[in-house]
Amino acid sequence: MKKDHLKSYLMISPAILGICLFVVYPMISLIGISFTNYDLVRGSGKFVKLANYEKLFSQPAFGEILSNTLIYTFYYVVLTMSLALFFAFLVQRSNWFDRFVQGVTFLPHITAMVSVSLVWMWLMDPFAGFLNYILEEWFHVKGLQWLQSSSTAMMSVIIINVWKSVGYYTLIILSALKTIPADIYEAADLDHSTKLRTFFKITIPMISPTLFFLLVVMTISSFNVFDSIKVLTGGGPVRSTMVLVYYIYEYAFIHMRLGYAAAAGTVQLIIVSFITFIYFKLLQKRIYYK
Amino acid sequence: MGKIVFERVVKQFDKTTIIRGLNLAIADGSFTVVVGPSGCGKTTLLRMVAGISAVTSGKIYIDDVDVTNIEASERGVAMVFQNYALYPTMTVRQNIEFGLKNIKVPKEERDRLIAEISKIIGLSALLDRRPSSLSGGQRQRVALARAMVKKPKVFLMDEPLSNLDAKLRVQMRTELIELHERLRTTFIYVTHDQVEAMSMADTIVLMNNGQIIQTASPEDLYHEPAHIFAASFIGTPPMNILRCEGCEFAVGFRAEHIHMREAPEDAALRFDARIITREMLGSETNYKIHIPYGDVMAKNPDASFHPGDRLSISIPQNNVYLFQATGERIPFDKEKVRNFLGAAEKKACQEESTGLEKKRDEA
Amino acid sequence: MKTLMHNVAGITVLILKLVLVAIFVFPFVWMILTSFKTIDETNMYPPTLLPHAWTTEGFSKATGLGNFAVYARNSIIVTLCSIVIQFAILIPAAYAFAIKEFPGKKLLFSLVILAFMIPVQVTFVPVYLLMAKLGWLGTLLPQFMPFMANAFGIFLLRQTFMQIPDEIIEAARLDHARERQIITQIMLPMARPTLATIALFAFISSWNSYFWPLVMTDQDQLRPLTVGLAILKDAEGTVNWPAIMAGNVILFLPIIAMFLVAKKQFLGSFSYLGIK
Repeated sequence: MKKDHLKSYLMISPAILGICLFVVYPMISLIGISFTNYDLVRGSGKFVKLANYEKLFSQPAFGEILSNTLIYTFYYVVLTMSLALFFAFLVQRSNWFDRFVQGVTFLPHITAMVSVSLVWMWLMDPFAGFLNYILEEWFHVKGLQWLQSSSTAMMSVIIINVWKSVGYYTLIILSALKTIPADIYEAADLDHSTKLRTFFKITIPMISPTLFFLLVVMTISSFNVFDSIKVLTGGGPVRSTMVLVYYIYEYAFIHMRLGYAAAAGTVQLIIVSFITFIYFKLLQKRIYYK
Repeated sequence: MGKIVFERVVKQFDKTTIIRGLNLAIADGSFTVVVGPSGCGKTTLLRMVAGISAVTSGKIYIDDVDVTNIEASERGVAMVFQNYALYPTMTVRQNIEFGLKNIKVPKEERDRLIAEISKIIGLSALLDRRPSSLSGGQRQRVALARAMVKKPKVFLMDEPLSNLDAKLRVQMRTELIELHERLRTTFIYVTHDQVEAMSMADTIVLMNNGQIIQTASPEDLYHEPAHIFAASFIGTPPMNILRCEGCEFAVGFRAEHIHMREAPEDAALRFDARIITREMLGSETNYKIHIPYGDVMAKNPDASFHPGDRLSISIPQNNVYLFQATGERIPFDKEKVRNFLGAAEKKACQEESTGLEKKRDEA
Repeated sequence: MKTLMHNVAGITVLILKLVLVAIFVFPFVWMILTSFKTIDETNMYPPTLLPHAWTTEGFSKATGLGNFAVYARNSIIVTLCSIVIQFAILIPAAYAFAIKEFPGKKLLFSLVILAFMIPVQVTFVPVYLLMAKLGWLGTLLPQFMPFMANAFGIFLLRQTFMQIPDEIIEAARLDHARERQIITQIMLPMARPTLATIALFAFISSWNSYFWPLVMTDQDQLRPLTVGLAILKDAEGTVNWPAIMAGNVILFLPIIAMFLVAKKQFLGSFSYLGIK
């Protein structure tokens, strides 16, 4: 018996080592660093207790950033979820056309965010961009500033991110839809239910565990938005697209103030952990009821 | 070659004891069927012989060698699983070869063995197919071939026919019996189907709740059941058992021993009866008959009775089985039978509606 | 009357679907077309759809850029190493968690779940310091080593292994197979679709990654294609859209190639994720 256990431990040890080294240790280290004034230039830091946190929470900019992040998350999740559901409803059949459309919506997901951002940046160019061209010539509406103005930049970033990821979630919802037995639809049909009503009253409740899971995944991933912002706006204009991760990045690698960045990072860790915790708690409840 | 002994074997799983202190000897070369209802422990028993289920305490011997702690692959046993467990990504040939390759049997030898087995089992045309393209019966044969090619001391079979359709099952039954005749290796066969057990075995091990109820030949099990459980498990239809709450004894008799016309001279029991249902099966007819002590099944070549008919049924003394209320079989005793009938009468075990009187034998 | 409404509804749906296709395909079309235009053409208003004069200027500019070959080489090396190391680690781990019993199994597996849930944006600062301490910052190692434990892969493969009937493994044991043989000759072949899915996702994730290599590389020699392309944007005075788009087309080529070849695999892989 013992020998077999040893073998098992050997088999999982590289994975566990990797996890401890690159996930667990950094998490702990992050919290530790947040209590110091570690500076990347100097390469060292002293223990300053809660100084970083005090500074963090006293910054009006930080409040702005948190609200930016929350706004981003809110719109991103709402738009992505509703669009993903809508698309799933629209193209749920197995004929070749629907499947073609499914594949097409998935294309953005497998593309690099860098590429997506650059293309959309070009499309959203206020002067020579295609979007404004369409707005002005086809719809006779004045073109927008998109990424160049602080009032529209955030929305532009959100649109781009939604565009990129909605296909992925659509496919997941579609595969969840497949698990619903066909007879349920037949029964609803016999009960004179319209397609729309069936979708809302029957289909959605039946896949609600998946939807719930996706909600959490979307929320957590939205907290981590970075690539698009770095490429598109660098956090501007006027910090209108500055979100938490970018803030951390900036302080860590541009201002070199690791301690402070770690404090912001710890805040983010707490938020993400909190969401995950709530999710698991609610999941327990659901399983109990099931 | 192929003698198995269980010595005080106990199997516990997660704090529940599935098998307690079991002792059993399986003779070399026998076709032993372990039969019992679901959950009785028969598959566990089989797996312990195979070595894929560990023994909690006790010993298992194969040919007088203690194999309790020996690896499954070192025991010289082969197993046919209920769902065949064929390797899905390999061809039939590769499935059969796998075990041989692992013990480094040279290629010519392997090819020869496979050709031999395929001919016996009838697989030669299928050797390059994948399991997914085979029918249930064909897959079963591959599983059998895979086991046979190992030339084991013991063949273990876990309900191998239960996934086949009825017709195929009957055909495979005879094929397995012929195979056993030919190989003369010990077969240990597990099933929940008592018909299979009765038709194939030379020794039946009847189990219930992790215990062995009786080990006997089919004839002995049928004619001399040691326990009510054995009596009512074996036989189609099962033995009629008359019992009632609080009575000290129980009385049983088989459907085919019920005389529906003239009472035989040595009749130990006689009842006023009424036919409830009738199933005409061709050479014989099954009747469900109501008597004051309950409903019983009768089997008779005489098909002339119909539902509603009143009649008198009787059972010869030789065919009456007497049991303790706790289930053990005891020798026939007129007093005790009379005792039972009397007590049963008093305890309102009778049906009121017919208003019949019970007659007791005075002979 | 009902059929007319039905038809109207049907046509509306069809139009919606076509609009959908347009919305998702158009940016790609735009990207490809732009890459064949001249800079001047891209600065024109109104913007043109098809290039007036097809040119490969953009491509030569993008690939001619000093370190393009280096960037491409780095992307390839990092992605390949990533996949190889991840598979070497996740296969035994998934097997052990699926099949074997050992003390602390539940606890250790929850560690895997944890890794799944913690995003790199939380860990990057301390990992950067760790890489500095280990002296790895001058190498490509920081770009793939931190991902050596592919929690997603362990998860998925474990699930697949768990669905393999016990009987098959038991039959193999009775067939004198050693553990390693059982894994390589029986279980892995049965898990081929899952392995393909994991490889696909690992490839995409590594090839497209931007944030992580950005953080982990100071030297231009170490940068992958994604980071190189983003720099391209800031390189000159006016933005050279054809070059940027050309670079992106090149970046996208391996992905689209794989997508077309393994379309069924991609779209089929969602049945795993749907059941949660």
